[in-house]
Amino acid sequence: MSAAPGPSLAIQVVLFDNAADEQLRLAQAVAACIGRARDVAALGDVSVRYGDCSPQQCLSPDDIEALGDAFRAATSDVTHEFFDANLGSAGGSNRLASRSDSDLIWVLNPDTYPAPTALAHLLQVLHDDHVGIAEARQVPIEHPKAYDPITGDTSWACGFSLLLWRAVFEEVGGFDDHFFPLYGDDVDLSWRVRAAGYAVRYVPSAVVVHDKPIATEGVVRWTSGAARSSHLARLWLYRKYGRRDLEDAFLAAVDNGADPVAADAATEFKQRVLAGDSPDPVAGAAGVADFVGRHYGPHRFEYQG
Amino acid sequence: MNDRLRYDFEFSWGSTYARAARLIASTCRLGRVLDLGAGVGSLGAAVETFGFSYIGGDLDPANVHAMRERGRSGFSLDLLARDAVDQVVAAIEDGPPIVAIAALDVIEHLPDLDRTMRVLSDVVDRLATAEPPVLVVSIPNVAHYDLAAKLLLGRWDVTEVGLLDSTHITLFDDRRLETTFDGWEELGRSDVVIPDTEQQEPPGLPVFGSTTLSDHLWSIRNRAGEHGSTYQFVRAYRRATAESSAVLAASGVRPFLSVLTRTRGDRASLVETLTTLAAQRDDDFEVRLLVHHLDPAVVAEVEALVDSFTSSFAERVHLHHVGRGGRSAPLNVGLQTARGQYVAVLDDDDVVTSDWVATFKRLAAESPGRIVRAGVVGQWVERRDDEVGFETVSGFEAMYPPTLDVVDTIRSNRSPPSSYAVPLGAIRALDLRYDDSLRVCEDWKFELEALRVCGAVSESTVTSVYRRWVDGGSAAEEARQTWIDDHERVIDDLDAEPTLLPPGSLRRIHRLYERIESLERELGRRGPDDLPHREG
Repeated sequence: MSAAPGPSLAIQVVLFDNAADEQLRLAQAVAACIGRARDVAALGDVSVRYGDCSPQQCLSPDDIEALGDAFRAATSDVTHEFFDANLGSAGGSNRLASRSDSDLIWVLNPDTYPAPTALAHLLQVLHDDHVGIAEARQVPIEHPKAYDPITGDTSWACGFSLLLWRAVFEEVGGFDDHFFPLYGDDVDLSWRVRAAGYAVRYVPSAVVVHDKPIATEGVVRWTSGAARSSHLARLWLYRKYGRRDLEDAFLAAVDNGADPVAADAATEFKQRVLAGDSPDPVAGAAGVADFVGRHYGPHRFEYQG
Repeated sequence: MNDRLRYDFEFSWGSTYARAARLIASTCRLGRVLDLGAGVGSLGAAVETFGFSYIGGDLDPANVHAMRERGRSGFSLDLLARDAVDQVVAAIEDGPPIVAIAALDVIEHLPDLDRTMRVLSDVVDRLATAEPPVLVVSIPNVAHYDLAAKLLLGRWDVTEVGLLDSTHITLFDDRRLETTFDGWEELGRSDVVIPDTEQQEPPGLPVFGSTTLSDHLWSIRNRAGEHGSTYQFVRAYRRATAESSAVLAASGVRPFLSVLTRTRGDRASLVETLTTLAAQRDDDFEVRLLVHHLDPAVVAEVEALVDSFTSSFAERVHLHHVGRGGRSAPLNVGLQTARGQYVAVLDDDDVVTSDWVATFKRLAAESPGRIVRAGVVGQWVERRDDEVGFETVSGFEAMYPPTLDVVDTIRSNRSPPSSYAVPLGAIRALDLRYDDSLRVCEDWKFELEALRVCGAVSESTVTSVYRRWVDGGSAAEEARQTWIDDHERVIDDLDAEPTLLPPGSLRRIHRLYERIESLERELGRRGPDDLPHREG
């Protein structure tokens, strides 16, 4: 339990071949966030948990010590674990969640940089017990999902930076590691949180930098690996939320199309389903699983790409 | 000096001697003027008209004799001798106090400038009474346009007299003069200005007269400083007190980039702009945060925001309170205070990717001296009456061309400020600044002025997002007619000087004409036989 007044917090970062200077920059930014949050809100003990999914440990002992130094003013409870296996974003986050018993969990991608005010704004929203997850605003590529302009309620929270209650996280069973190595796990978690009766809330004032390459034509670029993960995640979501109609349409389109990346994802999907390795359907989630065209939830606008 | 005929100049009221005499009269009480390297003592006639007495020292006995023949005190003086100061002191033992010391057309003839300045300082110190004598010098300016222009043609023509007198061995421009007299206080100046000098030989060189090339070179020379036509610096100095000679020490290593961020402090988006800067992968930059607001409370709020960032970033953010002036005022403060090798503008509603600085730096290393330009996309935002103040309402739009090009930019500004960085060296050398008399388009004028001199290197990788306000934002605050008027003014201002175009521009203009002609044919305004030119 927390010694300082206010809820305790565990910050989780899953690494995969990340550079030491990038992690030091993130650590400094997060430490500033903690300081600012403590200035304006009640925040108990803070711990930081790094988990490394890389083939070889990506940070040296000196790098890890430097991360601890960067957090020194905010917390001394900083741990690093080399998983020696690629657990994926979902599996890695679950493992890290088991390494602490905090009231709150802040899941942060390793390639992010939060504004000093971000954590304070996210905490403010979670003061409402009805809210299960608070999602930050991604900059410079803001997510186009729609949200209620008054409450901030939204269909799902993007996993690059989300703050949630541990009790809610455990109530719904955490992330589903079928979503591997990334994508879709955040949509799935959000929908299960909403199905359990909690709100998922978008917090536009909580700014977190998380960028991807942008082509001259304004297209957000995806690598083929990212595209493959995205296709596979879509198929798992269709399966998990009982939308066989959409699953069949996707697979038919892949069969008729010329997208080798989508075809590759479809092949893995079919093989794993045949082998019995598919996620359990979510009961009573029809009302929250918003498949809108090719999007999850309604969108305010669309990026090309 | 040793050539009486060459330096026995007649006195006239526009001459160096008359200018020096007027400086002495305006800065000294009546007394005696000591003339070092006096020649035949031509300065004597000039200072005597103002009531001063005169004594001159020269190396050439014939000159000393000539001075005495003209009824003036003259003595033999070798400024290169070890005992030069003693020679002076001994020569002026009797008589009224020395109130001014002249060294006209002397310093440039002596080989060791440090030693020369020590001698002059010692003479001033030794002859000081209640107050130290004023030192008046005249020195030719080798940064005169005529010399620069001839060097471009590969010519360095040493002459009998003039700017490149064959006996000049220590050469000066205004900056070297300033450095040389560091520790002296300038009391007055009466520089000799001669636009057309003896260097304009042979006749017909295209860098002189009213040629386009001459106009272009003059436009650069004028921007580079005020002494393009200065033939001779004529200045009066006094030894400075410790307080007035205090010099600010240049501090620290210059970062690669100075980011100028204007804010009125009322946009929540400032936190986004600063966060995208703090997240840069390359931290070789500083931020000049220009708070354009009268209320100190607003400045304090911005300061608190900056302090909430990690110290490694916050210590690179320099806050400037710019209370007054138009849109350009804060940017000009930024230009004056910037220490980076390049300068970029990022306003408080725009955001950049994490490789914004690194991309500029790489381009600058590949093409030093050019403007560096990266890709930029537009994104529409709408005002909201909430904590954030706006909402993003569109994806990215390719509103701007992937490259920066003079010909394109002549028509209109197609590069938001966040998309390019300008070398500070060019800004300082050409005295580029944002035109505060313009109500709008000041960034376009600045960009074009820099672009037509520096050229640009571009990369299409998008590194910034330029936010466009659905209701027009600052653009809508100005009436449409204002935009039209200032747009025209920018063109007129720039068209007063020649425009230098980079290679490939002629082909582009040629194609533009072809396209116009083709469209005119399509519209029936030009017949198929109306050739753009006639053969033979």
